[in-house]
Amino acid sequence: MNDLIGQISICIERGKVNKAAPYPPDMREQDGADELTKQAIDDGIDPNEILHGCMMGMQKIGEKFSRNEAFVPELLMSAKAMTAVMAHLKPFFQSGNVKRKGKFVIGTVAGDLHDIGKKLVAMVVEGNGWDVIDLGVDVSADKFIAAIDEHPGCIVGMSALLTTTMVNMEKSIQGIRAKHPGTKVIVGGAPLSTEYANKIHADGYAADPQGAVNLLNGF
Amino acid sequence: MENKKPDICAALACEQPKNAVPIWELEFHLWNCFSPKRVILGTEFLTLSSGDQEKTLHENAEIMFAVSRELQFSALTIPGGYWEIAPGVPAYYWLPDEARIEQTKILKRVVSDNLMLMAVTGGVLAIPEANDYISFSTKLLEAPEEIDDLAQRCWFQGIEQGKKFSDLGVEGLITASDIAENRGPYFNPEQLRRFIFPYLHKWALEVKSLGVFPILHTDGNVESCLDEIAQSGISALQAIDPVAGMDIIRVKNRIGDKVCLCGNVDCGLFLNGTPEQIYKTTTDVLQACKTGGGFVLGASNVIQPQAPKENVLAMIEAWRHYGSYKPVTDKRL
Repeated sequence: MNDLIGQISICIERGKVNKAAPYPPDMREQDGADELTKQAIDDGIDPNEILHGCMMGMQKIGEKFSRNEAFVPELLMSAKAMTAVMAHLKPFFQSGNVKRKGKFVIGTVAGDLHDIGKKLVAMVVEGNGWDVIDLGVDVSADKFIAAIDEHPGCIVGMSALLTTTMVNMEKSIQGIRAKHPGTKVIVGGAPLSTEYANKIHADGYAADPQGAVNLLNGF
Repeated sequence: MENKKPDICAALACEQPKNAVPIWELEFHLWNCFSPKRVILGTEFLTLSSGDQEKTLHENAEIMFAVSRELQFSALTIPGGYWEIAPGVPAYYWLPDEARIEQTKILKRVVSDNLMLMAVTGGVLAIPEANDYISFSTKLLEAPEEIDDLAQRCWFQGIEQGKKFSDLGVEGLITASDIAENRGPYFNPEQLRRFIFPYLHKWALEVKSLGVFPILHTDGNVESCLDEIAQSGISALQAIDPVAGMDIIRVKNRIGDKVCLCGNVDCGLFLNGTPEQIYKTTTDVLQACKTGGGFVLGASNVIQPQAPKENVLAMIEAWRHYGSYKPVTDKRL
């Protein structure tokens, strides 16, 4: 692997956004994901390789998070570093020179306004090479369906933090299946479990962001 | 009516109560299911005229006390201050600051020494609300000195609030500080050591110096930091979140001699489960935790207003069968 790509991957894993960023302390004054990505593009490195390096870094921090070796703040810093990379790659996505793994539509279900878990999943999934369409919070079944109409072939992710709102997942899944029977739906959130996901006929349950990535990559 | 306060005082002191396992809900939202009259709080309270507000505070207190007696509660948590469960969406169980103070005074007069009053007054940082968490998390890593200031202010305000409510006769102060999610702590170990546990420790000491029980409520899985929680000096830990995989028997074995455990019938089960399931879960929790005392029965978190009242009654029924400490043949309470 190109040395620059390796450095970008480390910046993602460690959450080093740019040179000015004080975190992590042992990388202070060093170039971050922002500068290194710009340099890589200027050097003519294939943007697909850059994205691959980004994914490797994101996967490592995601796995550490799953093993309780990394925590939410660190994961968020990695996501910020990843966002810095994506800003440079955006023109290549738009031109079609860089391919994503697929489209992932995500939202917090109707009646629920919690954002943290859903956003973490969205950021980690994006960093793992997926095109993420974040519908936000309090998303109705109709809004999920409209997003699937707009993004055929996408996979849907639903989040809920409350026991009172997780029941809305079932209604949304029923609505989606009625119009788009083949659409895969994965679910997550604090009160959920594999058993509940099976009960509401979801295609998968993820306990954390990396779990969501693993589910998506397995479809 | 039997005075249940001595039982909860004993349990919070990690001792075995004389009569029965005390019952206490972190926040009870089902007052109106058990009363022909209505408790009025939150945004509805704000719409009342000042005269009606005063009348309402008296009625609220009467209803809360009557329902607490009916449901055998040993303590009740007074309505909290304003907060939002999501941006722009106020929680149900709150009153404006002045009304909250007034409600506490009235409640104290009504319940007298028959029930313990609890109040959520804060003191320790928690996972921030939806709008703040990215900025908060970034500061944790990039500008930790700002979080030091925040933790200090949170502690100071918690103590000031605590003193105010202690003066009004509140005997249990709660810092509702979610420090974990299902997977484990939100904060890394270094952050816990810097921003959480020192403040929890000095908050607990200060609250105890007021002659009041300091209680930590946290959702999530805190198994990795149970020792620090036990050493902090708090009287009780509330939630022991079963959805996050917290096994109350394991917790009891590890820290049950130092910290009273409050919980942990799954609050989601109250909403989605059957009375039979609640009865069985409550029985299991009681049988696992009541030995030796230091245990207060309740839901793991707020029982949502939409929960059927039969599920609450099922918990009480299980308590009647298995909650007694009395050495008699028929132990049914």
